[in-house]
Amino acid sequence: MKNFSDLFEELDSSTGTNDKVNSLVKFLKHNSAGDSIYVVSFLMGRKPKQIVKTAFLKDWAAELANIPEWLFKESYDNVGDLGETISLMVPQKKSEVKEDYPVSLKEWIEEIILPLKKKSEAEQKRIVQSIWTYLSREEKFVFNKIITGSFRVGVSAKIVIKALALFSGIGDADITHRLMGD
Amino acid sequence: MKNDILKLNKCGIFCPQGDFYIDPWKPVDNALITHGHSDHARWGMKKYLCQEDSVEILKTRLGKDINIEGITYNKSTTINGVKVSFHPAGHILGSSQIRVEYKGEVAVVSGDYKIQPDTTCANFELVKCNTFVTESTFALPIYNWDNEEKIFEGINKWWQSNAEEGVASIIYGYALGKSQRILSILDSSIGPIYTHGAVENINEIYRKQGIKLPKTTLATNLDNKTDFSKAIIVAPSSADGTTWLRKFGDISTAFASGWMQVRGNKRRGNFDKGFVMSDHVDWCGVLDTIKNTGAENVWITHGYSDILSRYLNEQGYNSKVLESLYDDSDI
Repeated sequence: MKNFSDLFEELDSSTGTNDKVNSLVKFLKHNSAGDSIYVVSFLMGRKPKQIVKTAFLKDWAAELANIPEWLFKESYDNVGDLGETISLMVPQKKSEVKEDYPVSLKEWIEEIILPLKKKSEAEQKRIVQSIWTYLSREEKFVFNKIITGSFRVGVSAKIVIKALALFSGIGDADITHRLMGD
Repeated sequence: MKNDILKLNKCGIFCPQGDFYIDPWKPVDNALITHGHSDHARWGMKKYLCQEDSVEILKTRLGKDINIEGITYNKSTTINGVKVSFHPAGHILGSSQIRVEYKGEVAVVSGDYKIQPDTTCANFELVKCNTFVTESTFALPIYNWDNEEKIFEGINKWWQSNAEEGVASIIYGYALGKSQRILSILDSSIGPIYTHGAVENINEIYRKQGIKLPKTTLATNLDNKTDFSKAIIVAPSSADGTTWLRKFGDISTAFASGWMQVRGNKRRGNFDKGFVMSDHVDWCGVLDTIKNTGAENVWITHGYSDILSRYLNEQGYNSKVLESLYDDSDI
C-alpha cells in the first residue's frame, strides 16, 4: 500500500504534466508488473466498486477514535470526505496489530481488499479496524478510497499513456490501442 | 457561578477581586497579557503586565511608550489580594498561561498553547487548577499532529529538491512565532536563508533574548540580480501573490499551518505545498491537558468551542463557551 500511497501523494501534489509523467515512470521502473497493472487501471478509472458500506465505516471509525456519533459527523462535515476524515482521526498503532500485511499493491487488492466484499459484517469490521490501526495516515486514505469505490486522482489518460510509452519504448498509439481491451 | 475568580464582560476576561483583565479586547486600566499576538495583546491599556520575554514584542507592536512591566516565569505577585503568576505556554516566545489564585480557588488562562517542544520558546508546563480556560483552535478529532521531526524533515526535503532544480523556496508562516520556529529547524547547508521585513523585525527581538536562529538576510533591498536559486525565503502569507515575489525568479511556495492537515484547505490555499506545522494544541493534546490540570470547570475560547464544550460536558466536566474576540486563524 505504501508504494501506491507515495505515488498518489506525488501525483496529487504536482501540478505540471511532466512531473506527473515522471512520477509514473519512476513507479513503473521500481515496482512489479503486478502492481503496475493495478496502478494503470486505477488511473484509467477502472476501479472496484464499493466494497464496504459507508455507514459501517463511520461507526467503526468513531469507535476506534473513541468519539460519539455526533462528533464524527461534525468532523466529517468539516473535512467533506469520508475516507480522509477516517484517515485523520483513527490513530496508527502498528505495534498493536498482530497480523502480517503484504507489501505489494497486487496482494493487498487480491488477497485482502476484494475478498472483504463477501465477508460478514463482523469479519469486515475486525479486518478493517485492524488495517486502519496498521496503516499510516497516507496509506489509510488511499485504502479508504479504494474500499469506498471513490478513488480518483487528477491524472489524464494521456499522462498514463505517455508514461507507459516512455517506460516501455512502445509508441503512444500502440499503447492506446492495447489499453482499449480489457 | 457567583463566586468565580474570573468573569467575562464586554471588555474581556475580568478578575473582579484583583481588578484586572486578561487579554482584554477593549481599553482597560490593568491588562495581563498571555502573549504578543495582536488578538491577545491589544492597544490602549493603561498598564500592561506580561512575561519578561514578551515586553520587547509588545513594545515593538504597540509602541515604545506603553506602560509595561515584565515578570519572570513561575514567580508570583499579588494584585489586590489575588495571587498571580505566569507559566510557559509553549506557543511563542514569552507566551504564558496566567495562573490566578484567590481564597484557595485557582484559575488558569492558557491563552494559546502547544505541547510539542520548540527551541524558540519555553516549553509548555502543566499547571493544576480548578478552572481552566483553554483555546480550541484545533479541537476536532481530525487534528492530531504528526511527530514534529517528520514535519521538519519534510520542509528541508522540499527545500533541497527545489534547490536541486534551481527554484527558490518561499515558505509562509505568521511573522511572530511561526516564522522563527521554521527558521530554527532549517538545514542551512542546503542554501542561503532570506527573510521578509516583518519576519526580520521579530528575529531581531528573538536574537536579543538569546534565541538561536540561523543566519538570515533581509530580502527587501535585494533585486533580481541576486541568485535565489538555492535559497529559502521566509515570509508572512500576506506576501503571497504580491510583486515582492518577482525578484526571486522561479519559485515554489509552501504554507506552514495546522490547517494544512485537511486536503481541501491545501487545495483552496493554492500553495504548491502545505506543511502541517501548528503552534496550537491538537485534539488529543487539548483533552490530555484538560484532564491533567485536574480542573472541574473548563471554559473554552476561540475555535471549535461549541463542539469541545459539548463533548466535555458529556464527559462529566462543567464546561462552557466564553464568547471571546480572539482569532483562530493560525496563519
